[in-house]
Formats: sequence, structure tokens, C-alpha cells
Amino acid sequence: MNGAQVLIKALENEGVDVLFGYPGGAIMPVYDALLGSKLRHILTRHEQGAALAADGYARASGKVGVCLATSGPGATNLVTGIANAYMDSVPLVAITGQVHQTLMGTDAFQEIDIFGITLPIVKHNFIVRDVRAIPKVINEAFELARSGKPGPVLIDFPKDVAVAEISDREIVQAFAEREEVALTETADMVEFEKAIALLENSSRPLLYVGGGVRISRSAKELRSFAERMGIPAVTTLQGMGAIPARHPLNIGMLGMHGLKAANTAVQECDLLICVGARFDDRATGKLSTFAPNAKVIHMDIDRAEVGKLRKPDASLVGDLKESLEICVDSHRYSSWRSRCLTHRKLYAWDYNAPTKSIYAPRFLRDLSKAADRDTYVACDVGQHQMWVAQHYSFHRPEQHLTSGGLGTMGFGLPAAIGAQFAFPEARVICVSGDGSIMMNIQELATINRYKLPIKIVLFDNQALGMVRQWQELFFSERYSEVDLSDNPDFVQVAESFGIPAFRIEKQDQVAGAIDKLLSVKGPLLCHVVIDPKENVWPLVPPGKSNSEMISAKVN
Amino acid sequence: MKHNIIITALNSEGAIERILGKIRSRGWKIDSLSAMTESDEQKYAISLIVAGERSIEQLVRQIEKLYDVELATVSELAKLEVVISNTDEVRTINTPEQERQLSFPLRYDSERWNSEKRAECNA
Repeated sequence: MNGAQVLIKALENEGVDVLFGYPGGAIMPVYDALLGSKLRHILTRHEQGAALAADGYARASGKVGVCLATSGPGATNLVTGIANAYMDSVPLVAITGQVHQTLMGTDAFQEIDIFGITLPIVKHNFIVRDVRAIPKVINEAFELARSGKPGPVLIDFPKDVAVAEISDREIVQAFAEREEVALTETADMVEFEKAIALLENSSRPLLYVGGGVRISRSAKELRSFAERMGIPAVTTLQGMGAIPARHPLNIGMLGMHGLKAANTAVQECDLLICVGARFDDRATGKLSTFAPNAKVIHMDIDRAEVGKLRKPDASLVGDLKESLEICVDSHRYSSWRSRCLTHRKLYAWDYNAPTKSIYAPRFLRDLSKAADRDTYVACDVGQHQMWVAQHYSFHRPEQHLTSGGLGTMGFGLPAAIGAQFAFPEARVICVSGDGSIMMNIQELATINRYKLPIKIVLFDNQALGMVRQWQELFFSERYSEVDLSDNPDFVQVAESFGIPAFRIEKQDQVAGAIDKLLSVKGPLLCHVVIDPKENVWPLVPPGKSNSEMISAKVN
Repeated sequence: MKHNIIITALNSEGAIERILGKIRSRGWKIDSLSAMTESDEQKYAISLIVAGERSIEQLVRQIEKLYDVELATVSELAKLEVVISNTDEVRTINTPEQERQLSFPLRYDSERWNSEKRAECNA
């Protein structure tokens, strides 16, 4: 066997079934070894698509996503996808080809120091220096990617290691040398007692729920915690679905484009229970005025998150499943609970379209009502992303695939592809914008190649909407490079990739379009023309307190 | 504020770059740095003086999170005692200015430091 074959065997041992990639010179031995293996390789049309598809696969399934690329430009094209996984703590293993070790450091053809380039955006990275080290490195990489706070791990794989021969006896020995990487933490009992005391002395406690609940698969425990004690919850962008959208204790998403009821609850609470969230600036607004009267209990697997931005009064560092077992004699919070619920009703969304054209929030609400509860929704980044968060109802956190930390335009299409490979029978919808979709438009070819039944809802306002909105509101309507009115004809683009498509532009076409999206078996793109002036409301201006939320400006 | 950080890390590929990168990206400047492998070359002993206004505990936790870091602790600058490696001369440094005057590399007296820490914990 050669090194490439050992690599494939090691991946099979890790239970990998699908990997996303793109071949090239230095990785050719691995592509040769893929032939006849149990692994299913999915060819994307750009390495960034491969990394983001692996990310989407991991988010939806909870398994480690794997992507593969060649050295040099192949490797650098993975970088955005790796950073995306890093920022949202997604378990990902990226494998890159590398030139011969003797050529490394000589500026050889397609040589790039991808190990050095990715240092700040990985949990860890490796250069495989010896064929006998392959099983151990792969094992460590997967353990690292999925344990503790998950994240990406990069393995750089020089060509000479890939072609090096290894005897059967040495292979057995090499696989035996793998070791378990134990990386668990258990919360301190003293901190548990502090947390209990805080809960007992609180009259207005509030759960602040983040992506950690999805990552640790503890939505059930969270829900039971909230119900047991009757504590209302607000969620971050990544925490959506951790508590079902229509659950009576769910007050909605907080933050810059959150629900006013959620931000009000945070400002009024006297105890904030942070569950796998990280006090991100898009959630907190001006930090010094965030939950100003509250004590804080911080639950997180990552000790370094505790006290990073807000000093907690009790910190439970460890698995959320364990931390959420905490319990006090409760149901003393009923007046606070009803206050939160009253706000939720008071500040409910208004779906009466301000204009005659199609109103994206209402489209998404209608789509959400019509689609089955298990639908996966992958979005891109911008106004449509916020509309999905505000108006689509998620029942499980895995259903919502969104690039929160890095905010990667171009995430939607590949993420939908990854989710569809994780769950071939599930319904997967990609919601995108006319700016974002162009960033990875080539992945339409991947959808066609594998005949994936992905439905694409493309909101087109002929502008870089979110940037245009900020220029309107915070840069005195000085519009700079946000006009995209020279977009291609998206229906023709989709059709040329072999994907059926249609266009709608009037409100009375929406019901028919949603019907079509949910009934057609194969892939379909629905090009939705919307009002270019539409903004995302409400909004906390950058740098302002969440209490200074502004509502729609009357045109 | 200046702080002295003592780190034990595996002598694995990129370990030092990883630590230095973390210090930079989290908003700290490096005033001084000394690193050397232990006798079996399996591990590095690293001593740094970093300058910054953020929480040093946060930085240490970030460094500790790195896979090849075994231990990272912060020590009071005033207690720093170093051995000038070439001469084995021992000097106690009280101020960053004194520290700057020293030639490099510095070797930290970890045994003494550990026993002091233990005594502090027991007190």
C-alpha cells in the first residue's frame, strides 16, 4: 500500500462516507486511491464550494465534514471555508495536497505554506511527515475536530508521503498506534452551587441560547430545563430552533435585527443564563448596556469563552447536557414570564406589505408554514439571511444553516449541497440573494451533476441590500458600489446549468410559487424580484445599545 | 500592563508560531521572548513578557487551549528570577526596564517558581 491508500483507509476507519473536493497535481495519488474505495467523493466546481459543503454537511448531521484539495491555489481556495467553520465551531477536517518534502520551501510549482496560512483559523493543523504517521494524524485530527468546542483541523499531505510504500506489517503497527484524545471538562461543584443560589434569588431569569446547544446536541435538555423552571428564552442567530419557534417560552431572536420583545427581555432580566453563546457584538449591541441589571450564569464547553466579554457570576464550564441538569424549586417566575409573552405579542411582526411588490418577510413566513417541519434551510449572508432568521420557524437547531461568525457570502448553495448529502431524503431549501449567489454560482453545476432536489429561493433586489441599507441609514444615503442592476438573467443562468427556474414579481404569484417549490421533485430555482428599497427592520444601529432599537423608517 | 507568561509546550511543528500568533491576534505585544527545548527535545520551555491592556487571564486561557500547549501560567513580573544561560548568573528582575537590560536567552527558574506558587496556594 502507499500513503494515499493508507489515508483513505484511515478516513474509512473514522466512518467517513462522503467527502467534498477538487483534484489537482499534488493530490493526484489520493484521487487515484479514491477509486475503488468506500468513500463517496463529491466534486464541487471550486474548492471554496467543497469546504463550505463540508461545513453544511457537518452542521446538519453533527458529523465531521471532510474536504479535499490540491496544493497551492486549491489549498488557498479552502481558506474561507475553513475560517467559516472556525468562527462557528463546526467540526471539519480539510486535507490538502502538498509538493514533495524536498521541494517544500523552494517556491516550487503550486507550493504554498498552507500550514502557516491556516494557523490562526484552525483548532490545529498537521503536516504529515511520514507515511507511518498517517493513521495517528487522521485519528487525532478527527478527535480534535469534534471534541470540546469543535472546529476545523487541516492536514497537509506532501506528495512523497502519498506515494511512499508501506508494508502490511507496518500498516498494522501504524493503526495500532492511534491513541484516544480525551478532551472533556466537568463543571466545578462550587460554581453549580453559586448558579443555584443565583437562580433562587432571581425573579426575572432569562435564557440566552446560542449555537452551543446545536453543537452539543442538547436541545432536548435545554427545553426540559426551560420548562421545568418556567424560564423564558431568547436565542442568537445560531441558537434558533434550539427551543422551537412557537414554544410558549421562546421570546425570539435577540440582537441587531432581533425581535424587540427579545431585546426588551434581556434589558429587563435580573439573571441572564447564557447557554453556549459568546456575547457576540451582533447579539449584545453596546456591551456595557447589555442586560445592565442582570447577574450572569455562563454555561460553555470552552473555558476561554467565560469572562471574555462579560464577567459571569457563576460559570459552568463543561458539557451543556450536564450543566442543564441544574434545578431549583421554581415556577416562581410567572409574572415575569407573562410580561415577556405580552411583549412577544405586542411586538409581533407585521406582515402587511408596505409596497405592492413581493414582501420577502411574508414570502418566508408563508414558505415556512407550507414546508414540512423537517426542512433544512441554508442561507447566504445579507438582508435575506436576517429575514430567514426573523420569519422562518425552526423546530430544531440543525435545520438552520447560516454563516454567523464569519458572515460568508456564498455559503448558501454549498451548505445546502452538504446538507442534502447528509440527508438525501430531506427537503433542503437554499435562500439566497442576488449578491451572494454570484459568489458560488458555479455550484449550480454540482446540484445538476448529482441531481440534488435542492430548492433555491433567490431574492433579487438588484443591490447589495444590507450594505445599501447601511449606506442609506449611516452614510447619509451616499451609495457606493451597491448597485447590481446589471445582474445576469438568473432564470437563464440556472437553466444553462440544467436547473429548471422561474421568475415571480407580483404578490399574487407567491402562493403558486411556494406550491411549485414544494411539489416539484428535482432541483428548482425561484427568482423572486423584490423592492430594491426594502430594509431589514427593526435594527439596532451599530455601536448602540439594544434598548435603542429603531423600527421601519416611513418612506 | 506587562505580564510574564510561562509556557510548557510540545516541540511539535508550528508550536511556537501558534503561541506567538495567538498573542498577537488577541491584542498583545511581546516585550521579550525566550524559548528552548528541554534536554530530550520533546518539549519547549517558553517565557514571555507581554504588554497589553486586556485581561491576561483570557490570554492565558486562549494559549492553554492550543493543542500543543501543556501548561500556561502567568507570573508576577516582580517575582521574576532568571538565569542568564551562558553564565548561570542569577538575577532578580523587578522592573521591565531591568528585564530589558538582560541579554538573551533567559531561562526561567521553574522549580523555584513552582514551589513559590505552591506556598501561595497553601497560604
